[in-house]
Formats: sequence, structure tokens, C-alpha cells
Amino acid sequence: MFHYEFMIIAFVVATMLALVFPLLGGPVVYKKLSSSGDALAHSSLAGIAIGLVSGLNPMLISIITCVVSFLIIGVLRRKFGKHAEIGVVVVLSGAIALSGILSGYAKAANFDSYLFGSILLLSYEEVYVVAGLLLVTLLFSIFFYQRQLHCLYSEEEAHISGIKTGWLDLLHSLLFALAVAIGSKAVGALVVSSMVVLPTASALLLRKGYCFTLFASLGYSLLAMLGGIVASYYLDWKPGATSAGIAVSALLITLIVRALVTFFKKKALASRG
Amino acid sequence: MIEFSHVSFSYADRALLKDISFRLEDGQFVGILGPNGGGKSTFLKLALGILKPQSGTLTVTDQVIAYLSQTSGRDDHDFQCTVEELVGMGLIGRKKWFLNRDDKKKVEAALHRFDLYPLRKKLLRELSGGQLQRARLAKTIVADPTLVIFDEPDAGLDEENHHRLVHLINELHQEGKTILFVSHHPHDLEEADAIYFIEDGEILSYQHELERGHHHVSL
Repeated sequence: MFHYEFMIIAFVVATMLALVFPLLGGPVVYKKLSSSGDALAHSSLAGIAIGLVSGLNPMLISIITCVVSFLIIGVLRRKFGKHAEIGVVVVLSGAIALSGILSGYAKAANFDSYLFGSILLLSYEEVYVVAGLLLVTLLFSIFFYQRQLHCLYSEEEAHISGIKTGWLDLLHSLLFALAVAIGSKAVGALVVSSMVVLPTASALLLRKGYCFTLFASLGYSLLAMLGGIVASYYLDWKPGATSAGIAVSALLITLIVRALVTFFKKKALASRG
Repeated sequence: MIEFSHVSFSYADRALLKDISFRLEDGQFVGILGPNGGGKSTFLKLALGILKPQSGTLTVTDQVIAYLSQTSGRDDHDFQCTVEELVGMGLIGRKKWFLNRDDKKKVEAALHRFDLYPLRKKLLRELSGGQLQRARLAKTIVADPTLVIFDEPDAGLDEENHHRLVHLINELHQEGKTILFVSHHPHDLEEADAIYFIEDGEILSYQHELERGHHHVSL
């Protein structure tokens, strides 16, 4: 499998993205804005359609549309208060409309490559972009680890203790939007939205603390992303879609194992009592 | 020290605080009573620096201010972190980015003080209401603040945990901390140096209110 250069590149990029997605997606899940990954993925598609139609760089436009969409979600989230998810649906609907209409004017083959990704067809330039994204994400996640945790628990209390919560939120939003836009090219816009949420969702099922959940989500993410590449090689399946399939299966298996463990623990306690 | 001097604040043409003057000295324990919607929350948000006064001046000289809000209505039980991680958050602020070995000792000491050490690896969802509020209190005081502001922290607690919390707040005052305690129960404030009543955006001494016969509002 590693005789081919494109497979090595695919493995390296998949590993890097597998680390980026849960590091930036985890906080989104904790904020209860899981569906915003979906909204951003569609915004990135809208950006790509704008780029393809206008002749501008699709990747650049998709980054801009992702950032703008996440900022709009942020503003709507504050406006709707407890019904924050309405903001996500508004952006999602707008992005679907825009990308649907514009994609009719773009070359179908180009647009499809962004829908399902093309991790086996990446250039060195794109590898460097993903490496840059990973570096910035790692720096952000390490330096802002404690601050972000405090902010996620209570924005108000974090603000009172002197943390610049607005800036932190903006910085995270920018990075998250970047990750979705860049990730869309590799694994496909439709798969990105599941890869930013599912590893954290599975890790949360393990019922451990924040730090453990973060590391466990990296494990789930690596399993899904690398599993997708291996399956694409041996079974000729689409790598992005297979990764999403593995992520969903891992979540379901975790759920079943957890239910079984709880059942047998209760049984053991009852027989002792 | 906190000093409000002729502070007013309105929102959407509604005066929430009208020309308030109030002073909280270092080491003092001041209690605040008053009906919901009377302006207590606005008063606290100003003291905490979340809102800025629209007129008048507000001076806060304390370096380390901590705040404990009520638990009811919050979704703490949904937030997946351990008790130890929660208490550690209390140390992260303006200058602090990471927890070092000394900080971990401070967290441990706070856990011991509030009888939470055996529960330190538990998730917030596994705690009872009283245990959760003790963990939140440990987070509030772990950074050794000079001024602690309590916003009805006893709401939703059963009687035993309520008494325990009030006892802990009194203990903090005895240690020399400045306390601003907003409560629904006048008897929680028995050890306060002064009690004020906030209603219709005005602040009055509680004694004055009793004389006017308004005490039934909070009792």
C-alpha cells in the first residue's frame, strides 16, 4: 500500500486532519452547536461554487464563506439565546440554497470533487496547507486549553476572571472555519461535518473528564480517518464516506458496549446485595 | 473595596438602577435582599464589571474578585468534566494560562476543605445538588480572592446543604475576605455587617425598609 506516493500523502494528510477535527470540533460539541459543522460544510460548498463560477480561487472563497457563516451563527446564537440552533439552521439553509443554485453553473466534475473529497489526489502544496493548519491548531489547543475549558463551562465566569472570552471565541471560530474549508477539499464537505462531531460524541459516551474525552476523541478520529484510507485501497470505497461510516459504527459500538457494561455492573451489584 | 457613586443604569428606556450610592469596605460582609426584577442582577453585573455605569462613577479596587451564581437554571450536570477539573478552572484568569505543581496543590487543598477529595474524579453529573454547589464554591475560592460575590448560591438546595453553604460563607468572612451576598433569606445574613434592600432600582438600608413595613416582601 505504501509503494505509492499518493497513498503516503493520503496517510499523512488523513493523520493531520484526524488530529485537527476533534481538537477544533470538540469545543463546538461542548457548546451544543454540533450542527454548525454541517452548516459550515455547506457554506464551504457555497464558497467553492462561488469560486468555480467566478473564476476566483475556490479554496480561498470557501474559507471566507466559512468564516463569515460562523460569525453569523455566533451573532444569531446570542440573539436566539436558548434556541441557539435556529441560527445554525438559518445559515445551513442559506448555504444549501446558494451552493445548490450556483453549482448549476459550475463544472460538475470540479464541484463533485469537493462534495466527496479527493484525498488520493492531493498536491504537495495542499499537504503544506494542512500541515500549517495542524501546527496552528496544536498551538491554539495547547496554549488556550485551560482558558477554553473555563469558557466552555461558563462564559460569564471566565469573563469575570479576566479571560477575553470574545477574542477566544473569535479565534476558535476562525480556526474551525479554516479547518472545515481545508478539510472539505481532502475528505469532502459532506464528510467533514461528521468528522468534526462524531469522534467527540463517541468520546463523551465514555463518561470521563474533559482531558480524557479530548484524547479519546483523537483516538476515534484517527481510527476513522486512517480506516477510510485503508478501506479505499483494499475495497475501492470512497475514503471520505468510509471514514464517516467508521465514525458512526465506532459510536454505535461504544454505545452498545457501554449499555452492556452498565447492565452487567447492575446485575453484579444486585446479586451481591 | 467597591464604591458606587450616583450610578444609574437603564435598558430600553427602563431605569433599572436609579442614582445608586453604595460602599463596600475591605473585609466587610454586606447582604443584599430584594424582590426579583428589582435591580439586584444589574447591581451585581455592574460590580463585576460585566456592565458599565451609564452615569455616576463606580470604583472597584480589589485585584481578585470571585463570583458564585445560583445553580438552578444552569446546566452544570450536562457539562462533562471532573470535579478536579472544575476546581482547577478557578485558578485560570487574567495572568494564569496553565496549572503548575503549586496550583495543583491549591486545588487539592480546596477539595479537602469542602470534603470533595474522594469525589475529585467524579463527573459533575454524578454529584448531588449540594455536592455540586460545594464544588462550585471550591472553584470560586481556590484562587484565594479578596472579594467574593454570591448571587443566591443557596437557590434550589435542601435545608442541610443550605445551612452548610451559609456556614462556609460566614467562615470566609471570618478569614478576612470581603463578602457581597445576595440572598432571598434575611436569616442567611445574620452575620452581615450591613444589609441593603434593592427594589425598583433603588437601594435602601434594610433597617429602613423594616421600619417602612416592607419586610414581608422577602420574609
